[in-house]
Amino acid sequence: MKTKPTYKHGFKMPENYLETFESRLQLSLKSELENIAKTKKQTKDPKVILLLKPLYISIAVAACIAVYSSVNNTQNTLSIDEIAITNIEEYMFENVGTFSLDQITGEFPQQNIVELEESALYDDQQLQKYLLDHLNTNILIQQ
Amino acid sequence: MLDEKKLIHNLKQPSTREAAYYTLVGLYKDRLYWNIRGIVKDHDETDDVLQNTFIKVYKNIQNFKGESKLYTWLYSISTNEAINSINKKAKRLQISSQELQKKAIDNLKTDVYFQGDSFELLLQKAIATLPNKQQQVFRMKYFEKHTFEELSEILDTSVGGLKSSYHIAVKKIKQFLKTNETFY
Repeated sequence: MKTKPTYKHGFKMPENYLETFESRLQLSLKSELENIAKTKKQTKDPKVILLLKPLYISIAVAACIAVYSSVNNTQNTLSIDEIAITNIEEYMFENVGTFSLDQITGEFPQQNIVELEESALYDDQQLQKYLLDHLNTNILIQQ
Repeated sequence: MLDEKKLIHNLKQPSTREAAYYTLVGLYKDRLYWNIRGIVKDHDETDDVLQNTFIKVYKNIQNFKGESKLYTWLYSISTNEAINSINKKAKRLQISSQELQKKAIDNLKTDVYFQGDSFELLLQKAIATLPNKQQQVFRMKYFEKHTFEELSEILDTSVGGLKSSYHIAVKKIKQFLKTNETFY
């Protein structure tokens, strides 16, 4: 089947070129097939990283809710109306020694103090009625 | 001679592929070498292209349907590989493939694997002026002495079309040689 050009074209083939061709081709082919195998191996088991795994999503949602509620809680200011009077009285009674009269009155606006003084005024009739209602006769007899 | 159908069958079977492949290489390496050499001119580049051709054959043998002759298929692959090689090299050197071909022919003067005289060098220059298809037809008919019927099968072109191409190619080459005859 070998057919060399039958008309002279001037080209020359190096000696023994065709005899050694197969061995060189074998090396090239082996290298090529190894490269293909390597590429296939790399693409066969691709490591898929899910950016939004359901677990991560639920954790993220829970974290968002926790942060939101804690921020909201700290932002809420407690109104004086929401505190039970008994609690205030209890606190004042326990800590009365730590406050001076000036400190306490300084916390109230002037208007409130005037109103407090006015409400503190009572007449003799009311006083008499109060004493009769709360009179402990045993104490009076002892004294 | 090994039956072509059997060879193709053996090439497609994993157990016989290796042996059949090297039988194929042994059968066609010579003819494909000259086909490639005629296109790229340089021996080392021809060697690279010939190896790439046979590697491509190995990788694609499963896709060969046997609708054409094996040599026709091999010839097409080697021709495409040779043309691709020229185009890639031309792109790398930032010149046109025609300029590269002209350069390759100029290099033949100092090429140890070119022993042609001044007429043969001028003939190569004349061939390089032809369009690719006419170059192919001329080389295969003039140097390799293929019949038009063989060429028709290999190049998938009608015999009439090939005769016309060859006739035009010869005319152009004669004109080129006549114009440049004083230079050799």
